[in-house]
Amino acid sequence: MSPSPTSRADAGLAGLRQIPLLRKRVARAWSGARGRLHRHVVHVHAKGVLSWRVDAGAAPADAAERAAAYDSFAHWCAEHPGADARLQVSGQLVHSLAVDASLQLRSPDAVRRYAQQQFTHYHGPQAAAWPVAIWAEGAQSVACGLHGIDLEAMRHDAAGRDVRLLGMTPIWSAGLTMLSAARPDFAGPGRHALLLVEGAAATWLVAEDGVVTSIRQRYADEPHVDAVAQLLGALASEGPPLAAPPTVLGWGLEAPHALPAEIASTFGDLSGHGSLSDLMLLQPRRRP
Amino acid sequence: MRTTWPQPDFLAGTSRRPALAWWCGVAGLLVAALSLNDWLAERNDLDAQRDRLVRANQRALPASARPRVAASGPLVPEVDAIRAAQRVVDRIDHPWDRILANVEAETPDGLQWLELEHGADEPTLRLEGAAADVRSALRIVDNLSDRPGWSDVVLGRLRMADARELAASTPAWHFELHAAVDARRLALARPGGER
Repeated sequence: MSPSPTSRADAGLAGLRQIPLLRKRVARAWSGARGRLHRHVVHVHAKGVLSWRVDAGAAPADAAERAAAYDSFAHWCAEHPGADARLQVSGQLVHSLAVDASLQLRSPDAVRRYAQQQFTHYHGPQAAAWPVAIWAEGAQSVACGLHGIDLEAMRHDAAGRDVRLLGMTPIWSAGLTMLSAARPDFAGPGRHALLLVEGAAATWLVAEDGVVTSIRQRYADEPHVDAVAQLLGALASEGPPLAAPPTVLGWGLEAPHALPAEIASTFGDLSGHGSLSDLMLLQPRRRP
Repeated sequence: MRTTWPQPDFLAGTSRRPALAWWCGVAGLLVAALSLNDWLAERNDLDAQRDRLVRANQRALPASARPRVAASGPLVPEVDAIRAAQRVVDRIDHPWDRILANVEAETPDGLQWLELEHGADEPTLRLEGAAADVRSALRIVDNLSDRPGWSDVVLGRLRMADARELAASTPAWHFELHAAVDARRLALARPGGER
């Protein structure tokens, strides 16, 4: 059936509305071709976002100084029209699940269905609507449910300001990458653990022989190094012994003294946001 | 040893959409460019054919010739002039000699012709004569009827000569003969008065 004149007119108007957007994209492509494209890494947490501008010639220390805070992602988009952004989501907004390899869930769809079933079982019916991210490679499958923020609204905000979203991953993913780059033994044989601390919130990751087998979201009583030590003691008693003391990586802690070495190995500074800047400015690794 | 840690992406599967849109756009532009090229080629071909047609027309019509379109106006007066000229030619070509020869050939002795009335534009012919007897008058009617080009030959009037005419020593019987003459058939007939 041929389209009616009205629908053709509507389509034409929609096309006209796309012209400014197209012009922006052409301008951005031109800027990118000339090497002036602005890329940002944005840390999305429960109270807003933190962002860093990534320029090709900027040293990480300089970039860390340029971190900027915004009360919402919409506000960030309004301030950075036409930019590219890679998002790292705080563990406070993500529930993660390492799927047991013995379940033999072959396809990503099967992993997704299983994860949604688990999320709904543990977090209630509202979890059925969570956006779910899947990572399935070989025998390892990981699923993440996003809660507390509206992903569609973020996409809409980005589209409205011609912000291109390059990716949106949980921040523990970057933590694992940074840690294994500095300490290759973490990906080696045996059972290793990382506690990624974001204030009082923490993500407990266990890897066995280089494969993530457990991801849990835990909370310390307070954002203090002693509370983290207490939490570490509880976590150590929950599973088989580790090959080495767990590694603690984090920021936003009150840390008048270091963690005891026999409890944990501290990676970077736990106070302030230096470790967060290092993590955010880590170059993302491409998927094979 | 494992080198890549899990990187679950909440936007995975959506980043391909803009690429798909760009490819669709490129394909659309390609189709549009090909269509434009075809259209230009067709238009050039059409122009070339039109030029060839114009040149062919110019060769077919001399520069001094009146255009065919203009000739359609005064066509009727021209036809009338042609018909008038044809009438003149027909009058010139009218077979007067055949008519007179036929009449003379069929005229018996003792018969006098007094008047001949005939025009080249009309097929009718009237003869007025005087014969010594009625049989001579009837015989000439029959004989002319048998000649090619003569038809409807009839004896129109027959009367006895009056005293004055008799005094002028003309035959006793005066008659009038009417006939229709086909000039075309007369012209085609063999000369010499053969029947």
